[in-house]
Amino acid sequence: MDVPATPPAGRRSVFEPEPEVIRAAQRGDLGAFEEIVRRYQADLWRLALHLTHNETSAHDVTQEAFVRAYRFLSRYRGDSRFSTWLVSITRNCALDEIRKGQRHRRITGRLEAEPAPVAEFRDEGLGIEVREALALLPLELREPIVLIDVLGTSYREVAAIVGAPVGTIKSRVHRGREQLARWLLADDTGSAEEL
Amino acid sequence: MEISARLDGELDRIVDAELDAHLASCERCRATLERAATVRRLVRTQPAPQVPNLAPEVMNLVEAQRDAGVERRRIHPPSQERRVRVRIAAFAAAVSALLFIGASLPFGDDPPQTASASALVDRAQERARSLESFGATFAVVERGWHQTVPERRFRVHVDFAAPERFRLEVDDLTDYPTKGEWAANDVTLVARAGGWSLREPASCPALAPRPECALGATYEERAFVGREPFDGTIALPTDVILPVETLASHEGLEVVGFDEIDGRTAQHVVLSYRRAAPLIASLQAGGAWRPFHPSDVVDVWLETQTLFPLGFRVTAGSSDDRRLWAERAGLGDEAGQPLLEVETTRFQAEPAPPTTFTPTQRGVVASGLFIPLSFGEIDADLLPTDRAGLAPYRAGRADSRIVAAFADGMSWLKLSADPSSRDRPPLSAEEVALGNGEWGYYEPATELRGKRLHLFSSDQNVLLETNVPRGTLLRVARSLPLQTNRIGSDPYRSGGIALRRLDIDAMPEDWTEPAFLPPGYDLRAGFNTITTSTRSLTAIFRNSEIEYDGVGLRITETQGQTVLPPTPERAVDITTGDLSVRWFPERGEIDWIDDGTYTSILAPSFDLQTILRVARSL
Repeated sequence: MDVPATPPAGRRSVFEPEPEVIRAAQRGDLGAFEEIVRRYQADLWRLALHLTHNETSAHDVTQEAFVRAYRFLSRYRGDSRFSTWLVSITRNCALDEIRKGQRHRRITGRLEAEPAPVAEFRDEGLGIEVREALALLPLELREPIVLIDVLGTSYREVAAIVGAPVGTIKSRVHRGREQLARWLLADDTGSAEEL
Repeated sequence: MEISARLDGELDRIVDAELDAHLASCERCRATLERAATVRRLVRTQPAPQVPNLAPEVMNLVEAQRDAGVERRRIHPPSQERRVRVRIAAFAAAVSALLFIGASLPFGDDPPQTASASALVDRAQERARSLESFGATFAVVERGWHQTVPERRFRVHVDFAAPERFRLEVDDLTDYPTKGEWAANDVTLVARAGGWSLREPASCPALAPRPECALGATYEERAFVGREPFDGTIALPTDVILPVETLASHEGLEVVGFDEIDGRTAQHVVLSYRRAAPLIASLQAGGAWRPFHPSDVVDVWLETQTLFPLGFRVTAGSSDDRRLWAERAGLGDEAGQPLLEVETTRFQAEPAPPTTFTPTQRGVVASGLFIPLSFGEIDADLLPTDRAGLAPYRAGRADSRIVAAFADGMSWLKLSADPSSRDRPPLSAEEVALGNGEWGYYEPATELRGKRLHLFSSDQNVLLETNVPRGTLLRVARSLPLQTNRIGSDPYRSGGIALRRLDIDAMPEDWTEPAFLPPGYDLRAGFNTITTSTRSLTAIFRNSEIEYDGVGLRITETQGQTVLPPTPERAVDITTGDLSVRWFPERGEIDWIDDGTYTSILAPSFDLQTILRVARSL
């Protein structure tokens, strides 16, 4: 039973562009903007996929996010990390996309993406179970886990993106991982939850 | 929570060291850490789905944008449904508080009558049925909205026509410091049977502005059509109201005396914000307003004959926990400072023209699934023979449910029957014997919903929802042709946890009710939560007719827990008598461990003093 006593080395961190590149893009330099697109598209697409469960939606969401980012580039004033700003935009686009899909269903007051049929994901052998389990988590718990474990965002940035206190993010990550443990580890132990 | 966060390197060194010390002796926590580490590793190392190269398409779009110079506007769905629901419900509730007579107001020479609380309640209920229409204008002053905007002024118009038509208009008259940066808090809310529309300032996330967040143009419009009657997205007048419900409870209500307002005699009553919340929230059904604390003081002047509020005022409370709450919320309120002042400048009983209540369909339009039917098409065996004297209003089908609603003035009753539902009643619902071996499961009214009674027969789940008194609701339920059953207390399980409803008349021997409870609060429901390592008992105390926040007061006791649950939230340590507890101000909860038993008291709408009193009396 090897329990890590310190955080594992080599923790991913999200790419942050050079200030000059951002400034150039803000001035209208398309080459600089394209560099930003190329560096971020994988991460943003993965985030969109985890939120919407649907490759077509992830495609639309990522495109829309970049287009919005370009349009509002002048509003980015450097008071947060660029990646945080871009991830926020992507998240908003994904939430819009989810809500759009629900427009013709009964409004229940809670916004949830329903877990998509597993067939939506391409079969890649190992890892199907993890994606299924993630897809089953409610959006509120899935979001921070995806941002932290798939994109490598810090808790503080996630708090800024989601608009909730860091404590709440910690709580959601904890509950999300506990729930995933129950599904992935065929495990009956766990803390009693208040109703 | 800290255990999970530690894996991500998010703990500072001191907490990390403390955690190490704890882990050395706590096997359960080590197991938790190991599980979380495994899950984390699985998520991080899952094969990544293949990412398409989107750059060429994106760059095409971006170039086209730049060349055309035209902004492609995208219509955005409602950003905060929940906010809309909350506000609208409260508004409707308060309108009913405002005027209870359809005729012109009789300001006669009769000497003002001292009203007892129950007399006011009865009169209000009676008046509610004959209230067909109403219109009023209010002058509103709000303080403490923002450091740079210490005072705001509004004119608010309200129009109502029974049973479900209303209109709320808020005109923001404030002179904001820097024009371009503040969106005027102008709101237009229009509702009637079948749908509503709302226009209000948009809420824009600071970090990632959306297209409609362009400076100076920050309004959101949305509409909802095809809605079923009294659907909870717009809860309606009556029920949870001052004075009806609020006066029914003696706690915090003080009848001060009589005052003269604009030549009219008014009864002056004082109560806590917790009780008066529906009245205040009624004017604030849409838009952005400052928050209040449950212990803030509300003065209301009710016109003696009609109970119409000629004015009301919210003043900041002075307790320590109010001070801490304000500090943590970034508010600069001073104790005793008036925070909201509302004065009626016009009212009338004549109905507004019908077009007043026509919603728009601009912005995003969302649709419910209600299909109207005539009452003749509804199976008579589903309907109660006693409808509390209300007339058929609207019926139809929504998904697999049949819906039939009855109304008279502002009083309403709705039945939903679902043959396909296998839902069990909420564990927090109160089990009520209806007589004749029949049973129902009752929940009091909340901010959004009316009083509800869940009923189960062999082939239908039926829900009765209403704003008439609880006793009347039970009477209506008894007149249903269906035989309604008691739901057994078999535990139901969910991932390693078993939940079992308790019979509140047969609580376990070792459980004791607190000696002190807030007035009007009684034990309504209880349940056990059982896991492999712990056993908890949750007892729920609530009012009979209304529980505005939906929670009430809940006491949970867990055996076999020796450590306080770790939490990242900022708790405040409080000692009272011989009790030392943690207090979570934002949640309204305290907890502590004593002799192997962990106890928590959750009561979001109560002030700390009351919660501590309950705790000390255990």
